[in-house]
Amino acid sequence: MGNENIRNFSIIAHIDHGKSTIADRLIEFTAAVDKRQMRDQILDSMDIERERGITVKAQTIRLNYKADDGNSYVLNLIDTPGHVDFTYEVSRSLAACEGALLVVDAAQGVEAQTIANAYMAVDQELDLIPVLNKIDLPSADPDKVKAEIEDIIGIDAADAVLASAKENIGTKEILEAIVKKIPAPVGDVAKPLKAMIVDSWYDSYLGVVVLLRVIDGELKAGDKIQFMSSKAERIVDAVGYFTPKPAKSDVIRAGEVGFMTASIKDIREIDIGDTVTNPRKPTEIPFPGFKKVKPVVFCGMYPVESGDYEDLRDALEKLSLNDSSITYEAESSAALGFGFRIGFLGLLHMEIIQERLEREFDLDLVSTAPTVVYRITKRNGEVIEIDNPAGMPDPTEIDFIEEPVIAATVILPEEYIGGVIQLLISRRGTQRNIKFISKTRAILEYTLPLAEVVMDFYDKLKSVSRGYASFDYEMDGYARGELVKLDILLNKDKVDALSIIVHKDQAFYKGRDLADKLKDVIHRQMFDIAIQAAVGNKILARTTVKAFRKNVTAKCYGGDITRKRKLLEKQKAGKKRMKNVGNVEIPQEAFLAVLKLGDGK
Amino acid sequence: MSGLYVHVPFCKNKCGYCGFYSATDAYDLTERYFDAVLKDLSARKRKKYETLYIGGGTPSSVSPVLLSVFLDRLFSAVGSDFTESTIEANPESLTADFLSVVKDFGFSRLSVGCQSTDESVLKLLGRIHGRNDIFRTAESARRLCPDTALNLDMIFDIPSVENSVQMKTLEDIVSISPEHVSAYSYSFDTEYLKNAEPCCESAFIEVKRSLEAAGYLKYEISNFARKGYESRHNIGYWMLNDYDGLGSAAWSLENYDGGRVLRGKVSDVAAYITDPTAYAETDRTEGVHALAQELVFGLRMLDGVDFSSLKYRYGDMLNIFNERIEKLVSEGMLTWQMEKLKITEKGELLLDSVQEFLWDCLP
Ligand code: SF4
Repeated sequence: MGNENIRNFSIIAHIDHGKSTIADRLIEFTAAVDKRQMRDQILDSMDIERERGITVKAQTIRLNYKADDGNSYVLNLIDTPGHVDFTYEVSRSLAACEGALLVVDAAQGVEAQTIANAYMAVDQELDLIPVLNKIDLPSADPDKVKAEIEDIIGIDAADAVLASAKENIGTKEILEAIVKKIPAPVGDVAKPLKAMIVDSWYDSYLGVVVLLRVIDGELKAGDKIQFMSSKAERIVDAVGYFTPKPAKSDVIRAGEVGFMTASIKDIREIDIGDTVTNPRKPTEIPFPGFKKVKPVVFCGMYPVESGDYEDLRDALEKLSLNDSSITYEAESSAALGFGFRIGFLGLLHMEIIQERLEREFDLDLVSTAPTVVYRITKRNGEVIEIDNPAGMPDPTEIDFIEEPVIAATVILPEEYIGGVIQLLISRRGTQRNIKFISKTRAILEYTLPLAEVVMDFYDKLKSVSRGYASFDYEMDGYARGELVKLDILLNKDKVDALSIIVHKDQAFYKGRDLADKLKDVIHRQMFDIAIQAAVGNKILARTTVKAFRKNVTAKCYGGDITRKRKLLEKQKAGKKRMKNVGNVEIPQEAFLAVLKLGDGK
Repeated sequence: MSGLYVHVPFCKNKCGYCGFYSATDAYDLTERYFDAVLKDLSARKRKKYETLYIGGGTPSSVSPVLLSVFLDRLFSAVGSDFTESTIEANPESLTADFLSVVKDFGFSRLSVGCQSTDESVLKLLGRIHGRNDIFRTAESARRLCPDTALNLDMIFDIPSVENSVQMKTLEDIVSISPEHVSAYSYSFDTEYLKNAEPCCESAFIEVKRSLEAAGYLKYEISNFARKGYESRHNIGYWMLNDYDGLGSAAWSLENYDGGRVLRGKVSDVAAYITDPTAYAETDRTEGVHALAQELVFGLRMLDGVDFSSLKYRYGDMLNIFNERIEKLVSEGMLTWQMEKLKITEKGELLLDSVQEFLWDCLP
């Protein structure tokens, strides 16, 4: 089969605009999956993805389609993650395609991630097919949305496919557009092997699976291959396609997307974006590769039971087999004992990992508030990076501190502009641009410290815009900031795990607010608990959780001894998620109270 | 020291707040029940006890004839020279016939469940006696059993009951001049009154002050006595001494080297009769948990916990509590008196939390 009957494409969309349901309809239509097996959003295979309705890992599926022109085509759908935390995976997936469906909700119009993803695709010179989804909704306004696509993204939307994945409208039209508008892959089977690694993951049956886009040449079981960046060589065990279950085949050729297994034990041996070639006949121009993604958000995770430390280590080891983007390093805290500092691609990524650790590995964890990586230049010229407030050097040693900043895009209806700008300013944002994309909607472009987005930003944005603002960002280097470490003391003991780094001007109200929040979540105990917020030796706020005064005990006779013991055991178990610091029981919520700090009035 | 407890699980009516096991419709099983209790007894290793306690349920509510036949057989099995023997009664069934049983068998204590002297409170609690029954029966007990010490039970902190009402009960009880008073803060052993608004702060301190003013010494968190009239049998519970409990829902405690085991009988009269020697539940506690148990129960006793004895028996295990005990002492909830660790008045008010706090540092 020649390349001319192959189409490689992705689907890109803002979250909730219907990417996965469109994929489901395409799969159904081409009957890649038995009707009975068809579950909604079949590409999202992790439970958590399914529950949250988002895709985390790139997935791929091969569809066979007999088009109206009478020819049969192989359509490789390379799914992309739908969240800003996983932008890097989107760009990787796009690199394996010649075109993409740009799905836009016909009622909501273009949103922040629509733009971010579309720009990425345009940068990679992909052909975009606009698909207006949910046209069955009474509020759908296809003409307005087409105009937005043309104005903002700058592509022709006149021929946009009108679809409703829910009502199964437009599915065939989408397939026809893919065949007609997306170019067949170029590439030469006769040339030396050149295949790009799109993704890889650990499968309990197959071992490490490598997803490849073959650019030139072909790949068969038994071939000797080389990873060009590491120069490591392997013998290929098997190649095949996803249908969506992995199905072995004899060969995968130039233009195709498929998988390879090669007795690879550790996913960390694989560099995404690396080129796979034939060591005896290497390709002349390897694929340029991708920048290695680095975690930007960190938090400490500690087992509630200190005995579970080793289990947590094992769980992290296993998880990183599947997700090489997380990093973890042992750390210890006076308050929380032994645990790990874990690095994530973003807040959602953090939540997902936390949930998986608790659910799949049955661990009870206490997490500290997320932080970013600060770069500190000391007076002696030394530059250090810290991902834990506890690691902040003494202020007298510090020359200056820099923090990561982001370039943020917010799209929103005009009536919320005032509120959202106020929020952005309170989060130390500076405006770069503001423009109207239609009579009623605007784009705000701001520079913000990443740390400000990590702390309860999404919820706030949602509430000031009633959910109508969409948000996207990209990392934009480092900037100096007047930052200080805010400490919390309980009964005069500093609780290291509650320290946060804040802007000098926010220290006072954040300190006061945090002390108040802690007062709410630390329940009354037998003793008074003094809560103080301090920067260095300066106490900024203090408050007290008053002890309760009475809880008169029950009577106790022969039969009550066992009952009382059981009650004591039960009460003790109920405190499992509490950490005890200087005889103060601190509930898990306390460590996250910092996330709920207000924006200072 | 060891005690013998016999549970008489029959009541005429079930009081809403009561968490003890008793049946209201099983009086026809009384005779067979007592037979079963004796069978239960015959399976016990111990043949001699220092104290006896016939409790319930309502021991005074069963036929005095059957009761005395039972006691006769019981005494011929274990003797009758107890240092203390107690029987419980309720005012409505405290008859002359019952009192003659008390006298004949030489009970040294009679414990009467009054709970309140207010008619409407008695109704609220589900009691089937009236205010006057209390005075009348106390008087006849004094007359017919002059050598028997009297204990009266009362409950305070009953949800929705005014403080003045419970203080009146206290006054009435003191006026009867019993040797011993058990004053319990209402506890939610059942769901009863769970959602009622408490109308005032706990009267714990006020109750304590009034009874002390009337010449009663507080020796346990809920128990007061004139000097020399403390209940030895009950002290055995708080000190976790050995006891055998006979009858349905009764528990037995046996100490051994390194721990103790509690065993409980089934809470069902008929099931108990079928197999009186079987245990429905076993609760074994060893090592530092056994130690903790002694510590938390011992703190109920105002005389405190004797650390020299604990040290002797548990050694270094005791150190686990050092930091927390120190904290409680510095907060004024516990205090040291020589080798004894005692609860203070501030600590008494928070005994549950003190116990919890100590228990929580167990591994
Ligand atoms: S309080 Fe006494 S009389 Fe009332 S049900 Fe309980 S045992 Fe029976």
